[in-house]
Amino acid sequence: MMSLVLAIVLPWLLGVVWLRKGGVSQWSLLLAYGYLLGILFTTLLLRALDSLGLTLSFPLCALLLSVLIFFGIQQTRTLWQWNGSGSLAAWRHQPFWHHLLFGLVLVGIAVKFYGFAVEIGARPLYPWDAWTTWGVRPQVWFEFKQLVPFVDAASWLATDHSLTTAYLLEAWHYPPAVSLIQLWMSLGYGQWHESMANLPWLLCGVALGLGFYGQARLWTGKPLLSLVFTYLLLSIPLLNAHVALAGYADLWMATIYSLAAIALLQWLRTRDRAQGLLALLLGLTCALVKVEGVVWLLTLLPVASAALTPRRYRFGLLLLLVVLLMLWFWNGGFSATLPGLGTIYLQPERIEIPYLGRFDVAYSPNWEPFLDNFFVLGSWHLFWYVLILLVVVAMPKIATDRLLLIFSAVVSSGLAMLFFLFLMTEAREWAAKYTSINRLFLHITPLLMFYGLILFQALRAQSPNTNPLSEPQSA
Amino acid sequence: MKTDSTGLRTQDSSRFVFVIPLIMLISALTVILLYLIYYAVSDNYANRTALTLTGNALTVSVGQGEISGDALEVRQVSSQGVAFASITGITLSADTYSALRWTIDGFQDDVVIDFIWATQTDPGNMQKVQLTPSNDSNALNLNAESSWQGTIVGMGIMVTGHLSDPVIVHQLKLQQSDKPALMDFLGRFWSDWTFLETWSQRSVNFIEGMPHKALMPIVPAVALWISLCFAIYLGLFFTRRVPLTLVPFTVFILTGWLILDARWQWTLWNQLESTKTQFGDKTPEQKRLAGEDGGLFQFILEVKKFLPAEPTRLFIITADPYEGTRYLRSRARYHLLPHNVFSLLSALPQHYQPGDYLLVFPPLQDLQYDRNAQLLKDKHNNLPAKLVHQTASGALFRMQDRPL
Repeated sequence: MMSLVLAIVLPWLLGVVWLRKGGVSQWSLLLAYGYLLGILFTTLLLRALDSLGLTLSFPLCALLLSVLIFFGIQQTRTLWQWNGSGSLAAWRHQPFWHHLLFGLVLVGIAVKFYGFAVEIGARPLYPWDAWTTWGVRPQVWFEFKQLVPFVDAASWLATDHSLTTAYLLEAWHYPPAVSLIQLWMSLGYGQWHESMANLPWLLCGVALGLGFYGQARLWTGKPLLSLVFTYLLLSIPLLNAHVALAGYADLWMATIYSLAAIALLQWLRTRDRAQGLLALLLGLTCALVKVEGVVWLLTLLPVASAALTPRRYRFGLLLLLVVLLMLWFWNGGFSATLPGLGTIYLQPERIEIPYLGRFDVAYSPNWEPFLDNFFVLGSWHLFWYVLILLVVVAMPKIATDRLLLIFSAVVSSGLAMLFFLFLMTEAREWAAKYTSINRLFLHITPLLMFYGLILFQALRAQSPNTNPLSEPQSA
Repeated sequence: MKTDSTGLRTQDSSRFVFVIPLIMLISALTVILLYLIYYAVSDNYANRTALTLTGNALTVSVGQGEISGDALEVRQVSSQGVAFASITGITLSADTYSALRWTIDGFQDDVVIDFIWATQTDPGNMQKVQLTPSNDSNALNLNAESSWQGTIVGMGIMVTGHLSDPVIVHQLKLQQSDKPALMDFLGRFWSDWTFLETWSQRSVNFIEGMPHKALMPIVPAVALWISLCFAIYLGLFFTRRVPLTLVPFTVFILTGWLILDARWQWTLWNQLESTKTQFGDKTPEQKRLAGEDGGLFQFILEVKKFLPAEPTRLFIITADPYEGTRYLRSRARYHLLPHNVFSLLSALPQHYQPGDYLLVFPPLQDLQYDRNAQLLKDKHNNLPAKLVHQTASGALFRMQDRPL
């Protein structure tokens, strides 16, 4: 049991210590980003040890993590210095009913997470991909204490029949990070145990809440407003299902991508080096989690590269992009063979990326799954109604506020990618069958909720009176 | 000017305390009234509660037919001059549905098309009534059929006669033509809102949030309620009775969200109770036994007794591994971990090595085992194999050396 606690604490502490050294000072951001980066680093450590031919043992990994934590503490003089007295003082000066509401909302969130914890603890691995894909690999790896490769059917049949040469997995090309997280927990627990392996899903949900709250607090400076929007995010039924029915990678993808994107926007707003670091580190890990993580990462690049380009070159950059796009279209697209990966096709009628899949491009609109899933069924509460309302009402503000425009560009590129996928490619079948339409939109949901918060904040600022969620600046 | 902690004038705040709840109440009553009116007029109630069966859901058991898009084309009758296209394995109450509306093309001289059904009490005795096309509506009053009663377990169409053109079945739609009384409507609304959804394999893809054919879908109803609140408040603003601020709009939205979330949280707690009842205080093995596929896991536990303690190579053969038996073979593979399982076979493997195991799940029509010769045979292969364990759920074999 002690080693299970260490399996949770060590990666977390590692992330917190090194982010503290990197200049992150807000406690909720430290805890949230610290956990995510710590656990993802641990998966890389497991891969590194395996590639060195070492047996995967918990004591060895724990020792290495402890050493890294020790060095981090040694290097970080300001680790235990807390500079939050100002915000605490401002917090204390808020009216009583703010404290009361804050407490009530917090209790509401805690009640939800208590339920998720019990559900994860009691229920054996349940959803489909969890036991066909993600949860298969860690059991085998735990048995052999090495990262036995998983291959497709043809490769399996062509193997030399040695037991550990290869195992069959239909989704053999899915990135291993989520399975490695389960392996890490199993190594800590000392045996394969479905509930223990799934415990990080609960922690991922907590990290999402903490990260969202921390970033919202930094952006708005208002604890109650930040917490209310955190509650709105954490109450979305589909997100709840992905915590309670642990085992899918989508919760991780949503958390990592969205928190990376929010950190990027914070960096664009404040040029805070710590936020840039969070965006960079978490953004780079997108590809470790799901195949489409690379695409999600790409949606951040236009805004990031525009921001990094000196102002006088931006128009030229835009012009260059438009010319390149026209040339690409005129030329009928292009294809290129990447060593070790295969051929990539980016053509107007066909997009094919190794490990991601082939998509024949043809416009065939079918809006019914969108309308049904977003506005009728119970997956989202009122999320899409409210978001659209906020965008429409805040449109004049968006048109005139540079930061809102940038934020809108980021969420638009993510949404455009999803709508392109579901309306222009064969993925429309996934939408028609309701199998992945919600899950893929879940990846961008925390970012969209943050966008909603910023729009609400902008509207509140122009409102003749303030509203019940407003407080004095306290961050 | 005096303001309170929300920044509103004290006078506005005290007015809001009365105005906002009043607007909410009026809007709620209006929403209920609007739904009642909606279902009272035209065929809205019948259409909403209708059970629609598209042609591609029917299976041709006698004669020949082909699926074309959503429709079924019956192309040929049998040598007895008849074709059946039906769906079985359904259970619906005859009392619930009193009318059939059908969309069928291909009526022709000397061809009779009947609507057919079977009841639970007499499943072997097919009931029928002839369908006759009319200009206004292709409808059939099922209440007039004395044998339309009890539980219906199958239905479809029967085509009799000489077919010169195909009969195309687009749709069969069962409708409730009798509208409930007011209190029954309110009861239905209440049951829609108190519906308890349980976890399913689809829950990670979408949450339904309401019963099938709900009369008052919850999310749109709350959205409508909020819209009415907005409209009433804006109306009051334009008549200069209230100020225009974000406060009431925020309160309306948050209240709507809280209503939905309270209901969802209640669902989660109920689900949690049933999870605890099903799996609480059990060991991991007992939990799997208590799961949906506990019977399969029990069988795999038996199989594991005949396998080596160390992981070994094992093939699973099922009839339709990519479709019909996908769940079975995937779960079996999961329960067999950490054995190295190849589960994508529907016939004997071409490549194997002596000592590999083979787990066969019936029914497999072409697979036979010759006990005397210890040979597994299918259409293409004869493999030497020793039967290790067999039950009604499946059989485990150990592959032997190929004879020289």
